[in-house]
Amino acid sequence: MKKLLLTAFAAALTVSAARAEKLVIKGSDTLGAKLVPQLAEAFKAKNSGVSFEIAAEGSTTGIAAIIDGTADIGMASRRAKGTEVATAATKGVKMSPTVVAYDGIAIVVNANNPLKNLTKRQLEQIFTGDVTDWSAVGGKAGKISLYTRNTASGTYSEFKEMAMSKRDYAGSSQKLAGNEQIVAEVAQNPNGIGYVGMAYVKAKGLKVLSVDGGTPTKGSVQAHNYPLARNTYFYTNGAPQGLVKKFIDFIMSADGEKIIDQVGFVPVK
Amino acid sequence: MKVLKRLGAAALGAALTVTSVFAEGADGGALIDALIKKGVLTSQEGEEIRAEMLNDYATTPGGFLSVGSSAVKGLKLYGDARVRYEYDQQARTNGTAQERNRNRYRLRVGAEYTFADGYSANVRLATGNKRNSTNADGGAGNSIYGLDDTIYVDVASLSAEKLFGADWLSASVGRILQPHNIAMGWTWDSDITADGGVLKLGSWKVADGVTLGTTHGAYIWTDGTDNPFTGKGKSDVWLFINQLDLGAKLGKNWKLRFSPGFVSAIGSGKNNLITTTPAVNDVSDMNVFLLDVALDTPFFIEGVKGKLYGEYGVNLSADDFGKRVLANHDSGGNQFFLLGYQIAKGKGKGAWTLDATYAYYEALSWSAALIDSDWNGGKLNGHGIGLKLGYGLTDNVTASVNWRKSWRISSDISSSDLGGGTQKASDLVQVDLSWKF
Repeated sequence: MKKLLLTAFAAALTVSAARAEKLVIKGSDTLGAKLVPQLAEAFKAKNSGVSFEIAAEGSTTGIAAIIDGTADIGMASRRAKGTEVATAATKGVKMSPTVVAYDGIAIVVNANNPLKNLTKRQLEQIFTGDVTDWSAVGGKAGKISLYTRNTASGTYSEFKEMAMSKRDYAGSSQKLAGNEQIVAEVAQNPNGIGYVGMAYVKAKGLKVLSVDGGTPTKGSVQAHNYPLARNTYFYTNGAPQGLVKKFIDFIMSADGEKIIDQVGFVPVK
Repeated sequence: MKVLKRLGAAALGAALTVTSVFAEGADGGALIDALIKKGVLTSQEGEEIRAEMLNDYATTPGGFLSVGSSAVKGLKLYGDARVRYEYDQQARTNGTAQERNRNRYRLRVGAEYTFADGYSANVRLATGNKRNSTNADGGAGNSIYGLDDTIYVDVASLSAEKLFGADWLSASVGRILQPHNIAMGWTWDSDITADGGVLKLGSWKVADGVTLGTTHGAYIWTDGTDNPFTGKGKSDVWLFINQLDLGAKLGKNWKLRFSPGFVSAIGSGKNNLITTTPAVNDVSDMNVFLLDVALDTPFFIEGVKGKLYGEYGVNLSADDFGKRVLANHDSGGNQFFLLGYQIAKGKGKGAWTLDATYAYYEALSWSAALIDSDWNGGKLNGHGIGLKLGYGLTDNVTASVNWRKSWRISSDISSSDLGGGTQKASDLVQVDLSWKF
């Protein structure tokens, strides 16, 4: 009888331990505002007892969370910088990236803007402040309103790297916390321009410009033909293991890829 | 095919690892991007290679270049730079004093190669004087950092750990950093490196908390033309130093280091034995029994460590030496000692040390060529005090002030090299800014 009680007690403990499984995910707004919550819901539906804590405050915060051990997964829409990898190494953390999806940084303007295309050179001129009026790039005269992400954003630094020859943003640019805020502002401002992840372009009052003739589509991003195509990452301390690996495996599965596609990202396979 | 692709990726990674050490943060980006675009690598494989390279780069210490595929395992670059303002004054027996203000600098740059496990080579270049590594002198007060300073090799050595597979045996040969437990900056000028070889045995654990090791050094002291002990030698002179090193943990904050040893100089000329009449080839004037003791102690301020240290030496050949080199055949005294206490807090930025020392060197107790050149005008036959305060401005930059004052012991020494002559007392102030890299 005593043995039976002990066994039951142990079993109860095991069950409650399993129920307590939780994944802490921090980082990119691009990934964390839409895609990862939906992936998490689908994963939870198949794995009862798993819970998620998701904080989407920018890629920098996700990488920092892996370095200081406060998250299981660091979401990032950019690669970890050398300085971040070095900081991690000093704390015994090995930054390991997993490419979870492809994305294209879409250049968005107000739907009433007559332009259809900008070159990368023109993007650099606009976002650095070399050009301040739409007429200088073939548009209707009007002072350009710049909307960018904030400095914690991976998209902020990726865009600087990919489109601005690593130059600084114009002082007049307005830094916003998320993709959705940029979309909202540009949709309301006829002179507005900004950039967002592909998953955020389906909004009223918005128009996506092509860059050097390329548009951000599933095909162009997957083939790396779109000039502003990029990877998105899950960073972990060392190779993914346990529940983290299970979640990543789910993302790479057909079910996961279906969600990635539906949300507006491009599956890796 | 997949295996081939992975092999190719690994080879690419290895190749880029070698390349990447030359550019901070290099991740072979363009080449990897091209290979991904061509379908040779997947995005994930590309990212893994990039991440591995960045990790490799990040996990090599500052200045450590890892070239893993080479026969050379590692190259460590290191060095230090020091700028110094110095004031010294020597009081003369006739009541006058000689003063000097100097701006000085020293730059040392070194490279240490590790060839294989436990085998390494070390080379260091330094500004200064080639004979004994004394600091570069920017002039006697007026000029700022003279341009005619020489650069010389002050370390060039080969070292082996675990010699013949024995983890208790190590050796170094060449021009090496002085490896013995002798008071650096006092009894042994910290700028002087030693030409020769050293064999280290141990350390063995002989009891709970007690370790024992020995150090045996043989150094070419002069090359037959400039005997530093007498200034007159013409034969090669070897300096032998054998020392025992006993360490004992006496409690949580108490640690003792006890190092008795013997230092002797032996010349290769025919008259190298002790003689009763002065002869230019005689060099067996130095047979010094040496005892170094250091005791780590607690200190009453939280976070501050204390260390009590002392050194005693007696030259057993002083009488013969005195008879030979001093005009009045006086022994001039054969003992020296120093006693000091150091307190220190922390490491790097904000760390500080305070060191107080009393030193006493009789004229025939030790070598004027080895004693610190900043002590008592670089001469024996002096006793006095030293105070040094150091502070870490950053993790690598230290500011320090060093004050030394000394007085003559005996007024009856005929050799100025040994602290005779007209020098009566000496004052020295050094203000240093040092950077280690």
